[in-house]
Amino acid sequence: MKTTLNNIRRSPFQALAAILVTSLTLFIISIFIYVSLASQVVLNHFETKPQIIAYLKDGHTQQQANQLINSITTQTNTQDAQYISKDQALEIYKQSVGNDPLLLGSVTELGLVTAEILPASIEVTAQSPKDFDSIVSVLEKSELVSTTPQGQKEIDFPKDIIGELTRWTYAIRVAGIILISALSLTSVLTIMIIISLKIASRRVEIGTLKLLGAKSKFVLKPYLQESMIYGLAGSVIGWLFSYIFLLYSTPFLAQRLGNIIRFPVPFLTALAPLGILIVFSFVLSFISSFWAVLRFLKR
Amino acid sequence: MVIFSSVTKIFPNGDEVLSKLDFHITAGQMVIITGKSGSGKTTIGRLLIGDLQPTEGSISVDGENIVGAKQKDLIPLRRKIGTVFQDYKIIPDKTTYENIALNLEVASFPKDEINDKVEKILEIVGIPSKKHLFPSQLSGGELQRASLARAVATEPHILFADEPTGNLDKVTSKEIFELLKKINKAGTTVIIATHNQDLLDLGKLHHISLDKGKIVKDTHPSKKKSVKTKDSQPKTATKKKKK
Repeated sequence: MKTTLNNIRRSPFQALAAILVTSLTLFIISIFIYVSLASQVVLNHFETKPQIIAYLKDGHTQQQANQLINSITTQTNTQDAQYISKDQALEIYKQSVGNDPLLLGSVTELGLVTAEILPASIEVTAQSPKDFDSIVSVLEKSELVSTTPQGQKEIDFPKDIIGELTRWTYAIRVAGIILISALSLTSVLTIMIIISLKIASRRVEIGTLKLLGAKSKFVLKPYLQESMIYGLAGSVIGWLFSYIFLLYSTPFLAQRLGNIIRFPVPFLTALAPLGILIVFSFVLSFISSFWAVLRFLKR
Repeated sequence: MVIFSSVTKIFPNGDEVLSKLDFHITAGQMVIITGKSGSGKTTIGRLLIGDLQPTEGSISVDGENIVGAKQKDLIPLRRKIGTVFQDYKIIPDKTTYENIALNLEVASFPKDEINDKVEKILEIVGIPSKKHLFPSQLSGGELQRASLARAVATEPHILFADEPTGNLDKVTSKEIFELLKKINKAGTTVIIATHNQDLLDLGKLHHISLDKGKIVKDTHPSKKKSVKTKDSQPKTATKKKKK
């Protein structure tokens, strides 16, 4: 290890270049991990909450509503379908306005929003977004579902949001994988070139060691260790910057995703990618240094 | 025991450095290989540690033929033979202590043993006060002693010293030869390749003289007689070669 640290100390700029390139790669990977996890959480959120809401005409009976639920669950793939009465709708409204005094006042003090003015509804959770069409089709045929003045059935379903989100998640993953692959290759090549240069500059010393009876493992171990140190330093720096970036973006993210993801992200959760980064950096540095060493041994 | 049988070495450029060399060295001997520059002394050393392969012939060390040996098989051989290189090959950015310790690390000596051995060998070669100095801070004689210390630190069976007095003054050269004799007396087979034979009492030693890659004199006790030719023809006095 002493030899390894001496090697790094002797050529600080080469070490800096290797660490910076590795840090950049691992920073991007760390951001990618955060984005992937967040997009998955958002997607899960939309996939698991009631996705289709059909508002019912006033004057229906509970039995009619149950019949409609029954036909939906038997004819389509649903996870859940339930009736929301006017009173339940008011409770949901109250919960959704939270502590907003103006909106809450409209219910409690002013009495502007009452159960009477809210429609009862049927909330359906599909098994997958591709089942939306069949569920909506059943609901559209029902006379129980209210109609807008334009003659359209009052059915809300975020098909486009989920589809869009799925496409974005997929695009982020593909773009991330391409970017990470390109940066990983750059890191591997950079470390490999640096280690190759070091091996070449110490060719005489390596030759002497071999003449003294040193095994290849003994001769080349410091170079393997050196690249591992670059990887370790790169992963810690890369993760640190990504964590700072996450903290910096927290107010912005909390504003937009606060009802889906808990902000600030707990430190231990944010720390999790570091383990992945360390393992990945070791793989990168091992490949690059092993490649450099192999090239030397073949000569 | 070291045996060279009909060893010829021709370099890729066509230079025949050694020609049909036959000699053997008994364990515990002190052997002096003399000859002018280019006579093949260094090549013998390089062949001995497997750094070069002969074009023809066989070389055996302690009964093992080393010709054509794989790199991994050369490792134990090189640990068995301590080498003092003509250009010292002392690693410039390591101290004297570290250079000597390095050979012990290479030979997988335990860490706690390394310190004792280095201290001891520095005393023997007479440079204990130079242990923290870098090669650039040492004189030629001190470098030679450091190189010698590194070579013998692992207590090899055989020591090959290539021009150990090459650039040294007479007094220092004599001291180095005395040191080599001391090492030999401790049981190590010592092979010295030198052009500086004036300092040696050759009468008592096994002396191999080379000229243009051929043996012109070999005083091994087992020889019927030592032959010296005026025309430097390859007239070795070896016994009939066994096939």
